[in-house]
Amino acid sequence: MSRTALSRRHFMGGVGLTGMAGLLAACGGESPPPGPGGGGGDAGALRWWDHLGGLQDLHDEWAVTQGEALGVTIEHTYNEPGKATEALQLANQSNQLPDVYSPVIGLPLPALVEAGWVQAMTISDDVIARLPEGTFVEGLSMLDGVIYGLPAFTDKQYIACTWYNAEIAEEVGFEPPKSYDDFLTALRAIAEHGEYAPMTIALGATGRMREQIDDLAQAGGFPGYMGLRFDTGAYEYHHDAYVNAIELYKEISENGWLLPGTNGFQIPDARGRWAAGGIGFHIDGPYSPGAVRSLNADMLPNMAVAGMLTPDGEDIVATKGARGGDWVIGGTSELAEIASQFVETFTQDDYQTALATGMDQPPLNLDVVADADVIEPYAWLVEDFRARVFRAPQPQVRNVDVTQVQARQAPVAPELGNVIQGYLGGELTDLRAELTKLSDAYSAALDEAISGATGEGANVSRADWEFPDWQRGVDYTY
Amino acid sequence: MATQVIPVRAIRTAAPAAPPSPARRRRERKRNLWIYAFLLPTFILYGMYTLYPIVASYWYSLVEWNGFSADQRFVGLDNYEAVLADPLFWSSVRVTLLFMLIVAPLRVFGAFALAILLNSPRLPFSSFFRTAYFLPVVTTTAIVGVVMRFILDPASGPVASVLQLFGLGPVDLLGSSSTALLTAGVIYVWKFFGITMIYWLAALQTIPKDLYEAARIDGAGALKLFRHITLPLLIPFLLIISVLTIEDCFHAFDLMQSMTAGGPFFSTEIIEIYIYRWAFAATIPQLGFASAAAVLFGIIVLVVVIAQVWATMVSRRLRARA
Repeated sequence: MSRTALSRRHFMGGVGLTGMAGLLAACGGESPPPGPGGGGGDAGALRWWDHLGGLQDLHDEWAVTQGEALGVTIEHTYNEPGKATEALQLANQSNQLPDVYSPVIGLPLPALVEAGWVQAMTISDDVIARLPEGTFVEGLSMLDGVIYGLPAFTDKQYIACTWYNAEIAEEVGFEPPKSYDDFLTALRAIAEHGEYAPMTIALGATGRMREQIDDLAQAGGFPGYMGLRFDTGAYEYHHDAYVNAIELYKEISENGWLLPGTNGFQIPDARGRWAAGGIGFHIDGPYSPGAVRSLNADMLPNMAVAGMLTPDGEDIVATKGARGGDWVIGGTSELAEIASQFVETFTQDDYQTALATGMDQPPLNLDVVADADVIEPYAWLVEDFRARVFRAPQPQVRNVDVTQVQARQAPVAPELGNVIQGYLGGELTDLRAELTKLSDAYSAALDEAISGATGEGANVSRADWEFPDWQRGVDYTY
Repeated sequence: MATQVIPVRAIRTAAPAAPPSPARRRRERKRNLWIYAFLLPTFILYGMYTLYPIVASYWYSLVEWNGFSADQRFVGLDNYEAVLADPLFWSSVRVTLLFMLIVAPLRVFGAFALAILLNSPRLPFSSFFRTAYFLPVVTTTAIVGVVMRFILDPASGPVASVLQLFGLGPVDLLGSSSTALLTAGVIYVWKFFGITMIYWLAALQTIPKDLYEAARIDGAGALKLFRHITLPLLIPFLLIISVLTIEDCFHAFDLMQSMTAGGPFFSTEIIEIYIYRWAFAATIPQLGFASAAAVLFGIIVLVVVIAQVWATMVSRRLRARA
């Protein structure tokens, strides 16, 4: 071989050297600074992330039209719910938080402000005037009168809605159930008919199961929410209302009325089966029609809803706290002013109407639903919410120091959703004992968080969770 | 035919090498420079994505931190105490070990049997079969998990359809805590079977063919060849392959998360899912607590690695004797 010929070793060496040079060039040197809106994307563009899967088409379009109106490029990105929190964590750590985003982070507002996740937004008086009274609540969406977040949806909603297939109801011949017994009778009728599966739920999604049972227990007479009594401030998951609601699911499971596989279904699994038709009942939130439409629009005309079940068919009384901000402005955004203007557009009637048309969670302004292109059961449900959902007391609204406790309170495992799954699957046998353990665990976690917060100067005690003047069926005022 | 092994030390001491010339030293330095240049990217990436996270997790295990704020409170060994006092941690340890006990023997001995079969010169299309068995290894694990959920769907999956043909009711293999772990284990074995098979095929190539020929001339049949040649010469490999497979079995997060997410009721919650649940799936992430669990998990894996080192040494000794 001539010395001038390229040997294999020299060739490999050259390739290695080129690779090294490339690597060093990629690692070092000066890179252009991120645009004013944070890292990535066009310089000067406003970056908007949201996790609301059913509204993506609307939001893509909204980004274009409002971008043109505001004279800014709006880059809209779907922040997939399963990874939304992690994505925001990474964005925050790399100083790339979007300018506007939906904050799926489990921290209370003061902690978000303190950690630089959000910054104040400017909402004009005209905009505030067209929103329902009490939209902005101290400790939840504003601090010391400064607004940090805009709620996108109404707090007047319950999520354990009894959706059923009207075609199957007509063929099998059952009435919309109101009580637990009505429900069991209807399921039995479907099972005996033999052609359809009586019911499915997202039993594998323990968080969703927890929410459903929390709602059913409240409608069944539990004087509080998420296991915590409003009147005494004590955890009482072992209350009869919880036991009865879980026993209802247990009876349904043991009778073999759940679609096979339901035990492991996540939300898309259960909803996908329900949307395919052939299943009598599906307990899901008001957002079910919006999700079903994206899966199988032909199912929409067959969807009917019977409100929420109560043990003996009593009138529903639901109590929910005010919402925090569903839209916030990133703490590092340099486009806060234009971001505020963009956030204000979410309060416009055309956006609210489009939101209602999406049939996701009902919009902030419930009045627009009547004129929106929605199925009749959705409109009926929204009216039911208006009449039957009341404002709950919230300790952080009365004493903002409570948020320091909430930021410290460690999650409990197994949680209610796990207990439900374990009881229905047969791994747990003594339901009330398990629920009592759950109450004790939550109570201990709360006490520990209070102790930690007071140690750091917070003025807070268990009494902050007590609202002895709370009355069921009445909006709580402070 | 016996191979004479001459210890390296003996060669070195037999003829002391003359000191290398300056020109040779320069050549060696240049050559070594290239070696280090090629290793540098690996060192950098390994340091960034393996060493740094390990060291960081040791620090995080000593603090209380939710990952949302910069505020990290030093809590000493409190996280370790909390992890060790959590029954669900011990449940995840039990599930992890049980999973390993189910899948490791199936992978090691099942792949061994298959490798023997595929190594046979009489088997037609052996290359095709080798590729076919290896194919699941290169398939994306999360996709396998999702597809398997459809295949095992008790309402409409193909397995349910076959069972219905035999008049059997719906069997929820992944949805029942009594069958979920075993089912996941079988799928895991199918998915990663090919790696162990390749180990065994490589080991089988090390057996000199003339040993078989000599034994055949002496009248040995297939069973005697296997019993007296194949098996003894593969025992050193059995140790290494077993330890490698056992260690591999501790890493089943992607498949398990996509198939069962640790359910139903924690029955398939291996340690990796336990760590993930506290670090990322909790409403307020508990990164300190999760890091403490990860460190403890690392210690368990370390014990296996020590066993691996020991097994490698034993295996070398055995091979030297052979």
